[in-house]
Amino acid sequence: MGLGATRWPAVVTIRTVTVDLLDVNESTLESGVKIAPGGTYSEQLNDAGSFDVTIPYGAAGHDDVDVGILARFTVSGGIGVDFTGRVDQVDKVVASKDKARRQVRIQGRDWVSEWDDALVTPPMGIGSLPHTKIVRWDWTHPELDTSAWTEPVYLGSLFTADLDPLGAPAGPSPGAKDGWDPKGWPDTFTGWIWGDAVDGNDSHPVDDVCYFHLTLPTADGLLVPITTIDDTGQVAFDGAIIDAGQTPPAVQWTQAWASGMRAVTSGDHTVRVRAENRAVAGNPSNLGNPAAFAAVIYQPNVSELMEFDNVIARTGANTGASDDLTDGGQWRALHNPASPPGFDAPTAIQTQLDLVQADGFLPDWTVNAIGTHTVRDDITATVNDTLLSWLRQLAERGICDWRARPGERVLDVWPAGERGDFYTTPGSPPAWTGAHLSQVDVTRRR
Amino acid sequence: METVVRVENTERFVDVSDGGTGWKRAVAWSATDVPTTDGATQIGAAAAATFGVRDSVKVTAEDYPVWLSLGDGHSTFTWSGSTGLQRASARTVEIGDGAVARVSPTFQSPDEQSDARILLAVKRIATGLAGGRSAGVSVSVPRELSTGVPSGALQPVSVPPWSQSWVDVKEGPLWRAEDATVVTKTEVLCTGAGPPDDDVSVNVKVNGVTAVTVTLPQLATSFSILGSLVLAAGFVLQVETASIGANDPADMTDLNLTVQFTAAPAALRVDS
Repeated sequence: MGLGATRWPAVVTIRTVTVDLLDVNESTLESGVKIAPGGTYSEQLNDAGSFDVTIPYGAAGHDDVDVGILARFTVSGGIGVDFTGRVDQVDKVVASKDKARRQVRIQGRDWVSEWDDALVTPPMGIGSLPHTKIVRWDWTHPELDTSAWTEPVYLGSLFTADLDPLGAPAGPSPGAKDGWDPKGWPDTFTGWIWGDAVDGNDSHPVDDVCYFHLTLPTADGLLVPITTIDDTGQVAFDGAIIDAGQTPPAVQWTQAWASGMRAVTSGDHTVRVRAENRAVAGNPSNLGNPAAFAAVIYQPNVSELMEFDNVIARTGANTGASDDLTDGGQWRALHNPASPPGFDAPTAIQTQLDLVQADGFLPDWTVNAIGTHTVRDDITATVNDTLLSWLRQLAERGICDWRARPGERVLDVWPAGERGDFYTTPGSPPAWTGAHLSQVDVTRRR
Repeated sequence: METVVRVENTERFVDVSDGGTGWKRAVAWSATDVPTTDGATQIGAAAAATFGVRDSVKVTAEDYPVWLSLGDGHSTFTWSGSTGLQRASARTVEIGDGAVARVSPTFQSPDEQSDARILLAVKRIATGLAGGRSAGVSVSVPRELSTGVPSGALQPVSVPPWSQSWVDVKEGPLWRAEDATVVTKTEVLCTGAGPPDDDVSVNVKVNGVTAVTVTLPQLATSFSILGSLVLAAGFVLQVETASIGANDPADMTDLNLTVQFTAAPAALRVDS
């Protein structure tokens, strides 16, 4: 049956809309406000919809409106609360010879627009140094769960000699990397670590990957991490990449690399490393090719020199916390995970919501995950973007669908494309054809 | 229309066509963490699939069989006039006389719905997930130089070796450190007529005060000790032979004693 074959449907379902005005805390200011014909509200997939209604002169609620209040639209027939908007603009005719013209027009957006009032925040919050300008929900993020990461394997000291700095015989070589001190390395107690022991050829597999984590308490002021990696990798501090490493085939481990920071804020910081082994040209059997990571971190506790008493952390043998000079046992490692560490979308959004709520923004909002979300490492945000623009970016990048529930401040988050049932290819979808239609417009874009 | 995606990878540009005909347009795509041409081609092919024409369908209804929820699949007329499954992407509710609600949904074509997923797949192709590789991590970002603190490669510092032929208890010359230096390893080497019969000790002095004593054991030709000697800029280093033990001085005339230092820069603040 084509369009226009039957003009009027045999059965018409009448639904009505009730509009209530609420304050920002959802307390009722006026219920059942009369609306002039022609008012509208609209909802957008993965965006803030809008509303535009006019309250006639003399109607209840006419004098209650102001910017910032809420307008809630409820649909009869068992639908319930269908839309809540925040009033962004009020137009009032305050005087007119014709009283009927003294209307109040209120316009605004879906109340998810409240997320436009909060900004993307660095992972450690505002005021903590250093801060990143791009938040990455990957191996660098301070909120990444590292509780299951394991104690690294000690591969040997960077330096070998007959006596150690304490005058005792230097320990036996644990193997592979012992004694391979990079040029310019300032600390003789540093050791090489990795997530796994070497094989019988004193090697790790080519393309072996290991992540490292350290929770680092610091004082205010200067901080100088010295790191090196066999063969290449990156170092992050509080979510910011402070050493982006070398481009292969160059290797990093023959050299000490400094990533000094003029000022860090006192407190606990997050150090993360991603390190990778590479093939060695002319070594098809991969002999004597271990992977390793080494680090020593200084603060000017007693002087402005790289001396033992200024070391606040190093990699090394796990000799125990009581042996400050030699213990490297606070690091944790994640070796060759099946997929890169990361976050699912609802968790990423929650970390930002937690940060802004700690500063008093977006009170009462919560995040609700719907469906099965996969952990991924490609969620990013730019600090100082609004959270609403970031939510739009997440949808545009195909990371998630989202919406604000119309009746409560809950942000529902689905895997991308899974809001609604379209992605299930329903066999008997509702048909918008024939008798139900007035008109169908199709827009094609290049 | 033909769409050509120009992919920039780590070393070149790669053009990938969608095979269309007629008017040609180019779209740039950055994949600067992809090292291979094959990878760039895969990305271009996947990206080209996203740039087709897309339809948006708006329906104005007298009535509606169900209340519309965004994201649901509904069937309605398409560009060709036939019906097809489409996704509800927006709706407008108009409030009429008596507060009666009339809904006008907007539907997206299946092609538009697949855009987001294709973009996601493109990014996965670019970097892969095998072996714990992290998607999108580029190693080509240069280090930032931060004035006032050490940044970048620490250049090894040279502390001149000291040597003494005709080994005897005697002070050596002085050396002044121009920059803050940490000596991480001190090694004594002995060459000549043969290893000494008894211990030989050398003192390493800093500003005239013995900081470390290294003893070459009897019959040994080398002995090393790990640091550290920390020399602020301007500090003076001196080596002296402190003792030849029970060795006959006449036997020491043919020996050559050398002290070598492994050193590193030691300043936590730098001028630039």
